[in-house]
Amino acid sequence: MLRTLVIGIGSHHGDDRLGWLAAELIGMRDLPNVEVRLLATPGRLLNISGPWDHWLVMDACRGDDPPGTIHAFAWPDERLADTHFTGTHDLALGEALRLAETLELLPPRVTIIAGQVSTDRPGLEVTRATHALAERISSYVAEQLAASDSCPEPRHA
Amino acid sequence: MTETRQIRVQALARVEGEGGLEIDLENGAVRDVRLRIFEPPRFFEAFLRGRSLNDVPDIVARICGICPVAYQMSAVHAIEAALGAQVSPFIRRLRRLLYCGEWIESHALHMHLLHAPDFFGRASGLELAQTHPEELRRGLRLKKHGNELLDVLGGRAIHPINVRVGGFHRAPKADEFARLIPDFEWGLDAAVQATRWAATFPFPEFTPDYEFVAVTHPDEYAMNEGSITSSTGEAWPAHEFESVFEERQAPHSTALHAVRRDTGSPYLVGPLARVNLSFSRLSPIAQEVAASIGFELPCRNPFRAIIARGLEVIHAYDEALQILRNYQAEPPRVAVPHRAAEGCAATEAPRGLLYHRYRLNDEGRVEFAKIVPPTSQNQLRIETDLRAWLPDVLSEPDDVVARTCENVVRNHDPCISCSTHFLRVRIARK
Repeated sequence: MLRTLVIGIGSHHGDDRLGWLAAELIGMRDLPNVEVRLLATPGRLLNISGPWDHWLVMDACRGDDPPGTIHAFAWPDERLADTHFTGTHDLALGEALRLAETLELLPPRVTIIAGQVSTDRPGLEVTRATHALAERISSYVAEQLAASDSCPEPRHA
Repeated sequence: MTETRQIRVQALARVEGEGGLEIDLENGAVRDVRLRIFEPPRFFEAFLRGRSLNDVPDIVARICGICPVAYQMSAVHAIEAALGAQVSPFIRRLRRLLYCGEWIESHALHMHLLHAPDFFGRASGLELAQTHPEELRRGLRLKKHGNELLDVLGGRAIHPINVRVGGFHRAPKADEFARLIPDFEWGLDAAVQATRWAATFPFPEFTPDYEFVAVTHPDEYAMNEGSITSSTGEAWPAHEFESVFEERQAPHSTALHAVRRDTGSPYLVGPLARVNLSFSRLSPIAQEVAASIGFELPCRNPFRAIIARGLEVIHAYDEALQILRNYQAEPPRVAVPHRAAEGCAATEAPRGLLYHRYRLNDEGRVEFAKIVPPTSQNQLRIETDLRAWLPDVLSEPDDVVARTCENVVRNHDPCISCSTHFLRVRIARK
């Protein structure tokens, strides 16, 4: 069975916490061969080492789809590769994954689950909608991990 | 007929904010250079007013994501100076250890991912990784060590939460530090390799007549304590900083320009200034490496600041290892009674001298705060460098001029540097 590292990327700032919440929920399921790690920034992906077969990276996103939409990507994906720095002190997710790939730091399989949120402003509480989205993501990922070795399929809520 | 040429680097993105670069040329001569910092005011000095002195370390840490320790260190030393508090040698060592972690993570990032690409004509660390993966992996591993040390001692890797006025909230257990030692032993060797690698880069001949300014200490490579020293031979206690240096407003920048009051001239802070002023206090290993690579003093070539950073990474690993190996936990803080008082301190952030001054009331609340970061102190110096650099490259195409000017900026400041890798440059000719 694949050794999967579930990686939640997030912060304390409102719905940006989604990645952490979803990863924590998956951790509470005690799935075999699955470990959970929480990161504050995508750049921290470059620090991960270990004999993983699969990284499952979860993060909040914003875009044109309605809040609550779940996106799943199998790396490499051009849509992620086109993402750029969101700040000057760290890498965007796509940049971090590209750099990790170039440096041969990626496991054989990388899946990215992005949940669409409506706000990530500092000082706000996580919305009920995002709590519910985290629950749906964790259920979806758990089903996929339990059912097969394949990457979760793209899906929209 | 007047011929004008304007080179604009529109988005320097953040220096902790937004910046850009504008160069006006007229009849083949430099008419004006403006490093524009257009970040909105961040009001940190105002945020601090009315807050308990206990809140200050955590608030000022938020000023920078790369060097939060520096802001914490200047703050706690300034407040302790105001209140006459003396910390124990144990706390002093732990503070230097925390600073070692920050220097390692900040310098390793800048050397490998931000600065090194310039010497290979690469647009980014990602591009450099394609041809130099081993070096980039090494840089990331060094940065990771710095972050891990901050995590263990600071409570978390970014914006540490374990620092308080009077010491630390908690002293790590010996085994927490012991676990770091193997990585730091590897890191010391890797830092030597990284510095030797940097010394092989093709450095342009460029030696401005800098006045270096840094904190120096008679017994150690200064981080938290010492005199503010200039390469002119002058030295001042921290409480004279504002009588010697002042910040002035520039119309094109929301960041203030720091200059010497008496001459109005710029000065340089940062690793190159520190290494020039305190070379003999660097660890013996760092000094040996400097000698073996032909790093000669005084070094006024800002492109060689990457070597100065490398030497400081070596020093930081060496000193951190000594502290980690001999660590025995002691009480992590001393009592600091509150009273109305005023005090200041200067410490050495990765990017240079960082000055704080606080006035406190008898309840221990901040009535006034002044923070002078290294970025503002170097800003006018960077513009001056660009004026000196431009005549040698004006015959080049605009894109080359713009790129090399970005390189000149990047020599000085990691926060500016990390943004300059994705600048858009617009050049207008008349």
